Amino acid sequence: MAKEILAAQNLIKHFGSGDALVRAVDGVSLKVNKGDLVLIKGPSGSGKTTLLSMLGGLLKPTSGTVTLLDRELTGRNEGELASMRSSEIGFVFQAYNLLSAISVAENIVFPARLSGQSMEKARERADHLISRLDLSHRRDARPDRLSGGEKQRVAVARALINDPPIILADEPTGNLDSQRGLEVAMLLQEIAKEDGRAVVIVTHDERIEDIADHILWLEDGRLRDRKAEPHEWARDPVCGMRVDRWVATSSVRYDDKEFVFCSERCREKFLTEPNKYLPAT
Amino acid sequence: MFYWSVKSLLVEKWSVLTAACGIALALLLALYLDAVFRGEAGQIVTFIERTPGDVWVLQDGISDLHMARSRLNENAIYAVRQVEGVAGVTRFLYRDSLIGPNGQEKLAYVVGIPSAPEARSAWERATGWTAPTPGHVVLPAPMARAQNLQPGDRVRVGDESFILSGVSRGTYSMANPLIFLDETDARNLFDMGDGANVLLVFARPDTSPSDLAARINREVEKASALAPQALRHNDFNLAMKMGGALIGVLEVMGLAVAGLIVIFTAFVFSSNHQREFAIAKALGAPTKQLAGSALAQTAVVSFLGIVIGALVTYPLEAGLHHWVPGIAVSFSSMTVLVLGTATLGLALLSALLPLRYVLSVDPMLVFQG
Repeated sequence: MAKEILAAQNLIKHFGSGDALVRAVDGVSLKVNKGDLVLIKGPSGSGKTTLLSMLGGLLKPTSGTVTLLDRELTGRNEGELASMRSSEIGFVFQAYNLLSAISVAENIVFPARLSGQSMEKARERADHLISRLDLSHRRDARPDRLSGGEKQRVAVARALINDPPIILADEPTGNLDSQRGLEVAMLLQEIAKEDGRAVVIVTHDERIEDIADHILWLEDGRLRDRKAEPHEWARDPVCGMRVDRWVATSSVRYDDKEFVFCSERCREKFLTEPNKYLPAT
Repeated sequence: MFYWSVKSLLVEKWSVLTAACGIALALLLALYLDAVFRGEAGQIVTFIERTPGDVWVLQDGISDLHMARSRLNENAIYAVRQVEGVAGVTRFLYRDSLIGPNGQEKLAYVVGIPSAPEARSAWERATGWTAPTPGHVVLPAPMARAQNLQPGDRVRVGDESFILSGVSRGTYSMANPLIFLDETDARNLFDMGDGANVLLVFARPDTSPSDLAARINREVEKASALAPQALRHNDFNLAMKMGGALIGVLEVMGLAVAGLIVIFTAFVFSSNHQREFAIAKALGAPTKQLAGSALAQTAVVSFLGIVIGALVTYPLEAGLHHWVPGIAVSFSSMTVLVLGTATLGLALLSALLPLRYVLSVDPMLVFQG
């Protein structure tokens, strides 16, 4: 049985109250095992980043629990969370988030120093990662001298410096062209499969889907495992948005065909003037 | 973290330098008035330092030259001569008078240089300039320059007119300039007969000045004897006390300005590095290290400002002596050290205000593109 690295149980995060209440994450449960590469996808504003922040101990949930290596994150104080973030979680962000004043090698070593690792050990590991991620020629460069792909490789190396069991990545390919994005995606897959780490990626990038073990779809605060459940993409004929036929809440049968919609509003518009939205034959 | 915070400063070296110069300027503001009063006080006591003599005798109860305007009791002068260990006594006059043409008079202290050749030559050796002969006056160089006077020009002192024979250096202060006349001229000017308001006493070789001063104080009524160091100390402190409140106010103002600059600088640096603090926080930097890092930045900028301020004092002093000779400025290393330390302490205290801003940075900023 695969070792469980991260688990969330009935995770809820609400913002605001009363009429302004937003259910960003509404009762999400998930498990991520050693070696799993999990994608969290969903429309913009669906709560993907909020979920990732709670999984990484950056945001406290309204209720529910997050467990990392059988230790509960929720309920811990800020100091304990900071310690767990530095030593047991590797973060990769869309905007790279490298520290601009220090070099590639110093950026990579930074979390190691936060976790109290000796400089000698941290440098040794940084050298290994610099070599593995093909950054040797850039080790003394400042981040503003790097290409987007190089920056993201530095961010990945930084995430790995403390040898964490899990990597949480937020849109890691979002700022990269297709070639560099693919390289980073393959790198994250290698980290999951060869290093045996759990990797959770929040992404819109469809190209990564093929390498994922699980694709979790977050919409309206709820999560579904698209790889485990049947799904079939269809286009909303009104707005053109992609909608999963299996879970679409708005649909109509017209002219012997079933049309699905992203919302009631699109369905009503369609019913007012169906011919306007029917595909030309 | 410390390394990162210092390197972050180096990236913005011009901002750092500007902030440090602001702190340096605030420190200099606090130091400047102290230096002016110290310089003035130094000028006032230069005369005491240069005057040959082992013991100064003033009127009973007087312990500084500033108050020594009253005439000494003749019995007391006689009694001083009789004290064992006294080798010689020179009378001289020290009185205030108005100097300069009508409408442009300036208050100055007039010193009557003793006429005795041995006293004159001792004075000349000590001061490096020629003592005035009868009918002549020596003015401090800045005073002569301010009134555009050349040697040979006539100078009005009180109701009399004298010929400028030369200028003295180191005897000018804005509050207390000293001018020099021949003793006889001074006596006539002030109608002092053969009286005196200050006695200079010379000790025998086997008698120490402090022992002699103590002996005169014990044995002579209605006179007050002081060793030159004690008189110098009293006059210097009196001059400093006159400006004490003003110096204190300016020091507080300087420190307050330095504190405001530090708060502003720390806010600017914190907001410029808000995202980087958020990154550090997200990656697991503990609050203590974040606080230390922000304080380290403030400490480095403040320390740099203090060092710049301290280093500037020396060329500034030389420059002021050259360009504004009328103002005596003397920066004190001890005051620089004390005010520098106070500025650094205040800077770190001031940095506590923006520190709350750093500590409350939301690590969720790292998810913004």
